[in-house]
Amino acid sequence: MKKIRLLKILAVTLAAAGILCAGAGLLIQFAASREGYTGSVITDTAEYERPRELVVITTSMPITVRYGDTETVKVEYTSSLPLIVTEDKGMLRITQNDTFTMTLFSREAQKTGVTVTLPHRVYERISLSSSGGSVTSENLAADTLEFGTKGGDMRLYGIDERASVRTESGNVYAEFSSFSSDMTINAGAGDVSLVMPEELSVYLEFFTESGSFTSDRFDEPYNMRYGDAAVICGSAESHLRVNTTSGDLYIK
Amino acid sequence: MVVIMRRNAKDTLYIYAGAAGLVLLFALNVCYVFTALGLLSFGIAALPCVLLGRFGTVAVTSDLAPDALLLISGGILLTGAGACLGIVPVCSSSYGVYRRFARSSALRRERMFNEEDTAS
Repeated sequence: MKKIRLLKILAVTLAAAGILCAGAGLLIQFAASREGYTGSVITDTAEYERPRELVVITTSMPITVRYGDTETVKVEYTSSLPLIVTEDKGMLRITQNDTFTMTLFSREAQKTGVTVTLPHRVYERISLSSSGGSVTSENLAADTLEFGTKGGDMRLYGIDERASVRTESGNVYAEFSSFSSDMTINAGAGDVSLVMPEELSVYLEFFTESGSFTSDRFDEPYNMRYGDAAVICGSAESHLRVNTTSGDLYIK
Repeated sequence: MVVIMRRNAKDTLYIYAGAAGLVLLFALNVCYVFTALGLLSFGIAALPCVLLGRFGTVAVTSDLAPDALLLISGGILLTGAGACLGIVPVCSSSYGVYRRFARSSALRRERMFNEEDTAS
């Protein structure tokens, strides 16, 4: 009985000390926020000269790249640590700082992401890749377009040029304003949804292990479960190849 | 309007209400144990990180001021430790309530059985 009583006293004392400690912490936080402390998450904007090539690599931050009415490259980001930006021989390279970061009580940390606004021009190369974050591109034009993720989703709008799209398990959504060049999409376990333009002349090849192919975009509707598929639309001037392991393909 | 309950009905009500109360007590105990373990494990994970962050070994991201973060994570660790120590007394007193209820419930059941036996 004595041991139980001692345990009770110890438990209540520790819990009371903990509550007092946390209360003091809340008071300090209240005072800090009144003085204007907003947290350790960084929100910053930087401008750079127009590059010929743009490379963005992140581990977890979502990437958005678009054109805008600007003369310089605008980089806006929200992150725990500053981005590493290097400019070398016409190449602007933006990478996420990979230092181990512990996030505690931070709602702002959920808003992490980098948005790059580019001046209108055709670039030599644009390469966007992220391990866990998503990749969004809006109407980009470059001689070489590369998009890659491991688990993050991709949303690609207005892709007209030859592009390389590669993901391990992220979903791919792409809207084409015209489709006039060859393209290969490697999606692994991710689903691929493609919105094709009105006028279409393409030879489509779909290679999969266990994915399905659904489309009502062509002359006849397709609803194929498992197995490869090949569709010729129009005079097949361009070539689209989609490879998945278990991902499905939808074409609208 | 005055409702006079028969003794048997009263006893039955006691047994069912008591059983419902015990289920509620069990659920509260389970919640208590999981909350205590959660607080303790969160504190064990958070406090060393905050301390390492103070020394610059780990980058800690938070909306809270550094001093407030240290006190709050330390407070959570202490509260969790206290709550974990309290698991034994809390559960043993709940078990005491259960045993007392089980005994009085058995007595009432026996009385109800005897009354039915006499009536027949």
